[in-house]
Amino acid sequence: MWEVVTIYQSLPALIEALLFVAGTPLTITEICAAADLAADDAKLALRELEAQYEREGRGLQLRFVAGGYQLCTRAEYAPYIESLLGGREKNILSQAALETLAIVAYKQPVTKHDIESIRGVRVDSVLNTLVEKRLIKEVGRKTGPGRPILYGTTREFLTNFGLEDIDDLPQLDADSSRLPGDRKTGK
Amino acid sequence: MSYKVRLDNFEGPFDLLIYLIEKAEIDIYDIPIARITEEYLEHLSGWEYIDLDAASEFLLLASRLIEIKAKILLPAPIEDISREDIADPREELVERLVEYRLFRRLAATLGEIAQREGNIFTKDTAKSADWLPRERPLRGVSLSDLTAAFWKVLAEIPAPSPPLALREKKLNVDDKVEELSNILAAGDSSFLFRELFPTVCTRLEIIVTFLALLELIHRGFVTASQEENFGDIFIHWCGRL
Repeated sequence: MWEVVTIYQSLPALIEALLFVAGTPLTITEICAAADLAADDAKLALRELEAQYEREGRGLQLRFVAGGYQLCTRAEYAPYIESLLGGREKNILSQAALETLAIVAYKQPVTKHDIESIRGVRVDSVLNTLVEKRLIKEVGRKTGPGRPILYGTTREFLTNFGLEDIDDLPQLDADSSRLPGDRKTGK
Repeated sequence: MSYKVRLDNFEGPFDLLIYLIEKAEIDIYDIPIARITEEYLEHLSGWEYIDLDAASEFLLLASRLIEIKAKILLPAPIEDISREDIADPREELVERLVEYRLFRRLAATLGEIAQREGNIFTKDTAKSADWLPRERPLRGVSLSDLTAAFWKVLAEIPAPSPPLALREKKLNVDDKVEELSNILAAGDSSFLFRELFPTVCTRLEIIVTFLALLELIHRGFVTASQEENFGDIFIHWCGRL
């Protein structure tokens, strides 16, 4: 009995240390391999760690993003962190970038042409920006004339948007293309 | 002017069209094409200048709208008139608009998420290149210090020297004839033809010198001789008659 308690008091601490050093999300597999643990034990310890952060109202929180666990700060401390780090370049995505990103995220894999036909404008430079920001990447080539590049979202996209996986995107319900202003029923 | 600023904010033709539809509180599935086409074209004409690269997409939709409008105005072929399932010419456009509008809304949702997530930091955040340097290079420097420093720099710049006027050398054949006569008369033997041309000179100077030489030969002041083909040409002064 004592042994079990000892293990579960130290395992969360062990995993906390791993997550602190990694910085990026760690998968259960990575944690188990590093700490020589069974997946169930690791999950239990992670749950305990998360509870500790909650219970003690700590500045950090444990989040499950992009298929892994990551230590993050809590949103309410953002102003102080910004003042520590010295102000940030406004790194907000433009409307054009967000529209393009939305199309890639929900319809992936997509070609440049697919995106252009939805948006009605050329998207070359926006695509480059998103690739540079590592939010999207080339995921293959479409078969057919020209073998156009297919784009999809990256792991960084999931991390940046705090998503567990791509299915974690806000859902498109069947009727979500309709707005209250639309009176007639569409096709 | 405000017109242009607002127009430039549209992300594309669909963005503008949806703006017009929403502003007019029209049902997207039953767009009054004539009215919307008119408003759309009105917006385009408000553009102060047309950047063809950016405008072509807007113009493409304009032509599509006019085409749909024309189709609606023209009577349907007689054999189709009794059928109820005549395709609405607006259908394809509406489908694309509805799809675009959906992604525009999803984009807004992603934007909200991005904003929210921007307040949650990870270890990598601190290393990110997005942060501006922390040091404040102007700490302890007052506005008057800056002004004084600026005036000091201005004062140290030497006043520009008055522009140097370069006079164009006027060349004419008569002057050159005079000049060549003096040179040739002063020398006691003959000159090589090529010696008579200044080494650094303009094309015009060469031409004028050559014309002057021809003139001297013509007037009989000078004779020219050549001992072999392509050899040097000797110019001899015969003196004024």
